[in-house]
Amino acid sequence: MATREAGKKMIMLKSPDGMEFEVEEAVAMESQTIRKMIEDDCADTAILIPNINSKILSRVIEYCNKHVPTTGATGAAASDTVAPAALAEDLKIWDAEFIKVNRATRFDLIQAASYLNIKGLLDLTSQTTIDTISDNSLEEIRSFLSTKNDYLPEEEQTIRRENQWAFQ
Amino acid sequence: MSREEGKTSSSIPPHPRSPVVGPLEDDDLLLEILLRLPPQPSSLPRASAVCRRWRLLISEPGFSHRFRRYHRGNLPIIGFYDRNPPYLSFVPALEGPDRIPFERLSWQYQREQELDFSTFGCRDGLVLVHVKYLEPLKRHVLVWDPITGEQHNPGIPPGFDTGKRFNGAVFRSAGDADHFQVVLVGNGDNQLPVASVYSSETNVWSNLFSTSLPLKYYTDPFPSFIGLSLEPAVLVRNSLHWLLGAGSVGILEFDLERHNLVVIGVPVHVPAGCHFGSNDRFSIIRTEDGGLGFLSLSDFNVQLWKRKTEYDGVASWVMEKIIELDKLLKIPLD
Repeated sequence: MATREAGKKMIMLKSPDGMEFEVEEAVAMESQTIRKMIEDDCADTAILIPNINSKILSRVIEYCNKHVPTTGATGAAASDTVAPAALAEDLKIWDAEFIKVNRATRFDLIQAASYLNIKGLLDLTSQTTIDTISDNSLEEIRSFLSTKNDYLPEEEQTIRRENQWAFQ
Repeated sequence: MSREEGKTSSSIPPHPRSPVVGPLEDDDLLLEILLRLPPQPSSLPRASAVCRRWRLLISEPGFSHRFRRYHRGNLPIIGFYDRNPPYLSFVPALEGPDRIPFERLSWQYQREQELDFSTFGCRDGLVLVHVKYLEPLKRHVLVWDPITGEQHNPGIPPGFDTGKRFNGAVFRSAGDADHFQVVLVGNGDNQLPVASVYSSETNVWSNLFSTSLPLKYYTDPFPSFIGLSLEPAVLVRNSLHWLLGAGSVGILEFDLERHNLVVIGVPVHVPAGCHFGSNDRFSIIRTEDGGLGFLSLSDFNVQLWKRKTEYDGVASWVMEKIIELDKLLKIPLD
């Protein structure tokens, strides 16, 4: 495993549309996928990120930049660093602003977070999606998420009847 | 910080699925999203009615485990069991649409004359059912998942006297939603208090852990019985606690980590001739700061005691406060 000084080692992330982003290695390592590559010494100074366009990649980097733990003097794994309450509160406010995006962008961010394995971003984007549909009727949920109701009317009736209490 | 030119010498593996598929069409991502539905009881039945694919994903056996694991520590109390034998009926605690009807989660069984059902308590979505045969007198336990209806009979640890009263607790270890453990405490064949731990993963009971017990804790008319109350265990930090009864009141404590069984005295004097029936005067509680507490009711006064451990490791009871129930509940006293 390559443990490096918590200095300013830079790494280049390249999107398939040809854009390059120079980021601190610690920031890139917020992605567990990239972290593993670096730790296994499979990464060169530039890494191609297929499937994620520059617009989304720049947002992902913005997120990682904000969420990278402030370099602790402990030398312990950065992800173990617990942010003090004030910092956590600040991050929450920042996250709330960050996720004020349209649905298409949010869905792209969900995919990117899953692909790059960034747990915090996956939590944020998925939770926001759920929050937008909670407290809504089934029809509203389907329309928000463009999900087609493929039940026959009598099938839907049966399903509702099975747990009628949940629809009251 | 972005540039147009550069040399790429490595690449992370491309996404196995086509990137044009949206997250809601990707089963893995849809699962990630559905996991974050609120843990309220109505969430999953409602989401199942959205479309066939959602229903399919939610009804996969692994999903409910993952759902429970994801929301662990944040699961609502959906109700409780009225534990007066011979019935075991569910009493819902939430309001609609999360109010699960009592028939749905009540214990269904053929009423049999010689059988009594009660419970030793619920934890982590499981109920420890206490089954008592009256003729001949013997007992066993069942672990019951009221949501799925699954029942599991772990048997009885060897050396355990099932003719005498025992108590127990069921729980899931942190981070393990797939397995559970059962602790039973009771009378050993050696007439000492014993405890044993069952793991559903290995399907075996541990050896018996035992402790010596001062004579005063044995039931008055039957000196070979350990007076053990049937109240559910109270989990404080990493130890389970049961109330001992009979001529004197005490607490039986089992440390789940060190598998250590001990008896803790209580801070109040219990008058001679005070038997089991009067045990509702005493309760073990978990205090607001997560420590061990003890409540003692005398007339309309409740004494709240806290167990404090000093730096030298010696623990003692400290009176925290007296709660005057007549004033709290505004009961007029004649």
